[in-house]
Amino acid sequence: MCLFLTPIRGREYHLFVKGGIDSGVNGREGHAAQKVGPHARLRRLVIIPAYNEADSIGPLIRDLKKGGQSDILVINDGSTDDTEDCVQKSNVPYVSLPINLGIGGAVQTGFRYAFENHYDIAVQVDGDGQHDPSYIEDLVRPILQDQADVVIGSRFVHKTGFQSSYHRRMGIRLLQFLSHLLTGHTITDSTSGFRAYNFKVIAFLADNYAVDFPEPEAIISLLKRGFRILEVPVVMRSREAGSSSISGWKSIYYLYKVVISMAIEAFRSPHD
Amino acid sequence: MTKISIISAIGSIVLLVVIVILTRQRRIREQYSLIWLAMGFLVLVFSLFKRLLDFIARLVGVYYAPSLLIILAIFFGMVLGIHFTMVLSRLTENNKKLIQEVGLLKNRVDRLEGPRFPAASPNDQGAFPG
Repeated sequence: MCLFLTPIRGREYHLFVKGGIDSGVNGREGHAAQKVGPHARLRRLVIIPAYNEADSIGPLIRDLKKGGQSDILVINDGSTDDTEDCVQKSNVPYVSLPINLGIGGAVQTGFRYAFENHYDIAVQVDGDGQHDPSYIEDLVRPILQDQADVVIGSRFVHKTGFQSSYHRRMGIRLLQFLSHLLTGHTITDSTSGFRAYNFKVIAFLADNYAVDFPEPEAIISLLKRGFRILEVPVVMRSREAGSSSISGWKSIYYLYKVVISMAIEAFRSPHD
Repeated sequence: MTKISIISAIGSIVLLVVIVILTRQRRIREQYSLIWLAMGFLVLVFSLFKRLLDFIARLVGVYYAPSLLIILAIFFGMVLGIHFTMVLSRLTENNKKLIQEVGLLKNRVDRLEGPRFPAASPNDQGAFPG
């Protein structure tokens, strides 16, 4: 079955990535554009980490293609279901990790891809369909206007849409308090994985990103290194399919791990 | 020599021999055999010279000499555990990088090989048309 699909994939790769990878590798065009050109010439990559998201990845890619402004890269994080087939059928470039790494390891693969191919902006959109692609423009705008290096889509700026469960909100509150304590900045939705980054941040995160539950920790390390983080309001949907990776006992482990790594990150030298 | 000295001397010699054999067979890397060999020698020395333990115990103010042995054993176990955690962390990091690299390279290979495959539909220009 895969063999049958290969020609299609190969062809589409060519079509989709041509302007991206080839020119990027040879000529660093992305950077040149950032300095001289209009915003439209900046090259964007939408990174979609996906672990067993066969049901939701197809519609998400379809939505993203409608926007049309960005290249798309799916990171299939060692899925055990048909995620890879679904991505192949969608005709977008993808990286398939041979072994499941966890969301951080998957997203970091995307950062490395974006870095190696000199993308100017990377947008992370989770593969489960919680993130509405129509907000991508809102996320990218502050970067285009050079108001921020990192933009986070937050559910809690306007408090609309899917607000997560009571316990999770409490957990997020705690993280908000902690990151305020450690950095002096208030980030209302530090667990949100709906984010946009400029090239400087892509370069940093390509080498420095936690494998599991990386989002709150990354905020601390980015703030400590002087990157500007801005939150913009977004409305998130509840999951379209599949189940959350964090529930039950795992949520306790999550909180414990995240709190410890945030604290350690805060006491780490920025030069490490 | 007391009975226990002989037994523990034999025990530590067996440990040393096993470590050397495993290292010879490359089932333990030299790097990691060092710490075990050092411990084997230490136990051997203590079993051959029983007085040594009493002497050191008195020196550090431990009244019951065997308890010093137990403390040392626990300490050794902890150091070893931390050492292994460090090794494991390094391996995990290396492993992560390799997995990412394999994924990225696979993507690259697919991309480079792609156009060579026969065309999927009549409109395509494959490398082997017709």
